Amino acid sequence: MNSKTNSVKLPASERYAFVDQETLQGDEVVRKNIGYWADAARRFYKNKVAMFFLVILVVMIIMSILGPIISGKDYITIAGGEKNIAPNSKYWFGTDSMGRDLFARAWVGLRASLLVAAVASVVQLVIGCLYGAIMATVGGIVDEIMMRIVEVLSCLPNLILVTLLLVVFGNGYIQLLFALSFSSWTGTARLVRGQLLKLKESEYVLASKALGSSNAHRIVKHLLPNTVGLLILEMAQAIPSVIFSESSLSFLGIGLMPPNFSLGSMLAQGQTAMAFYPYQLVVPCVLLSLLVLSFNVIGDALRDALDPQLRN
Amino acid sequence: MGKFLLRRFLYMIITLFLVFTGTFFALASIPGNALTAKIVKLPKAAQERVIEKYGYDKPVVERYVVTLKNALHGDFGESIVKSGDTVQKILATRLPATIRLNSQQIVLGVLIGIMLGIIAAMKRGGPVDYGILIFCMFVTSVPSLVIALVLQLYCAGDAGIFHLPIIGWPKGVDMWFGGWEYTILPTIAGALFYVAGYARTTKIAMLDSIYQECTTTARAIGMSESKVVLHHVVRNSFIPIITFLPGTIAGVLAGSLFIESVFGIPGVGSYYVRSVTGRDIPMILGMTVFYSTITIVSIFITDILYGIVDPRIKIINKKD
Repeated sequence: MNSKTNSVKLPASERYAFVDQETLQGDEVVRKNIGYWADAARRFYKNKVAMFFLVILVVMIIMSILGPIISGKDYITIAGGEKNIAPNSKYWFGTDSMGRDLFARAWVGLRASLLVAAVASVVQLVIGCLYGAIMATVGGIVDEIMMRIVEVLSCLPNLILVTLLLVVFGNGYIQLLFALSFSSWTGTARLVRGQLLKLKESEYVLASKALGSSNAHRIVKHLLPNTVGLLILEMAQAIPSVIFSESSLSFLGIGLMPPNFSLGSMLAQGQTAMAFYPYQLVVPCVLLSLLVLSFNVIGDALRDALDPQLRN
Repeated sequence: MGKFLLRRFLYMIITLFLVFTGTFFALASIPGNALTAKIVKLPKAAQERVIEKYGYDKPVVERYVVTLKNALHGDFGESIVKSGDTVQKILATRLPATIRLNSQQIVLGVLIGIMLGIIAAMKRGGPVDYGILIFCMFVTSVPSLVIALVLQLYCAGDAGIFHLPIIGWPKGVDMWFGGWEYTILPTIAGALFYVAGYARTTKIAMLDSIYQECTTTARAIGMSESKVVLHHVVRNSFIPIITFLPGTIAGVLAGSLFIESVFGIPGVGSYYVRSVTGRDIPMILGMTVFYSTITIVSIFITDILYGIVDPRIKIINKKD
């Protein structure tokens, strides 16, 4: 606004002044050069809500390891006369219909849910990355065939497929992980393939090639760093969805079977006692929701932090 | 477009065939099934006769050919657990409940989602927008299972706020348009998960069209604000939302597996869970093919819709 009015009123000689070379250099603002990751981390740490949920998540992880030790009661000991006791100073979350300490059971169940989610999503990422990388690098007829396999697998109804695999292979940690990872990696594979193909065609990779860089150099220097951000986001999305599937399967009695149990199986137990002892349902409900909420909030914050367009 | 559709259609058939074959052989490899549990107490001669009746005395490949031939005519065989039950019969008796539940969930979820999206886009940046954002984060994070159980705990039964029935489903004349008190809680439990997705998509689509030239022109020629929003912004935002719908249908159908189990609804989902836990081989096979068909067809329709909405999709697909 201001410059506009100025430009009309004043003659050119008054609008412009000669600039001394020295003063120009003195005024130069030197911005510290921060890398992409440092910048992303800085933006993530600035997000207070995400930090809050990160703390909650860390506390939950620590409690899933230390929980039973803190209360001094293990999760299988049956206290004969003390069934269905409401939360009190001795049993912090109460006891279940068999007289087992719910505080210890809640954290052990959380441990199972976390473990399954972490391993299943890592498996998904590793298989998806390898598969996608092979598709992108080999190309041609191999790419075509591998893409068809991905298309067929990704058309299958996920929950139904997992259920079917669990029926065939039985119920246990390994079988559950296998079933959950069976078709979950297809999305990751497509993502990695697309990203690598895009990067391979990009100008700076071409420039690096023209400068005579080796294959390994280009992979380590250009392809990997530009894919890691995507993979982190993919992981942040995968974990909640695995927790969802696992808990619903265990709730239906198809996932983890006794003696193994997770928050999902605790929900099923809580439902049977719901009318008389609601706390048995509330405990796993709250933990499960809090777990997924933390992962979602952190995932959202990561998406904002890793977005290069928001960089400043 | 025609060639593209034909190719997708062929894939659809191949995928279905692979699902059938894979499921058949996977199920055939289970050591024990409903049949072994059923005949364990019978005398030897009777055992053999029952096995013969279901055709389990023949080699796997022969059984596969016979089953495939029958399946092409829509016959997946008889339930082992309950004689007389066939996939057709189960679908005829149980599909109405599932269809009603799912369509109510979709209508509720999509409507609330679109409304929240519109409100968020109109009041963008303000506290209302922020509140909707938090609400969406909340409903995507709390598993539908937990929502279902909490609703059951606090809204149903004698102790609940609304005294709604805890489990059950309207029968007979009320099958389609009655017994609403039974359907409220399961509908809400299944619908909330989809609210966030539709709200976000609507908001983004709205913000896109708010800044388009036709909207500016409409404002410039003096159209009232509500007319601008309804005629230009909302209408242009529907296109991306419509492409979402088929995926939601498949998702809701899979979600009814546990929603139906929680609320004791006599639908297809709860039957599938029961046949899975009972190792009822013919029914599992039939149901898996049924679910896969729905999912594959909805992906096919999504592809078509994308093709119609965005002509660029075809080119990308050709490159794949």
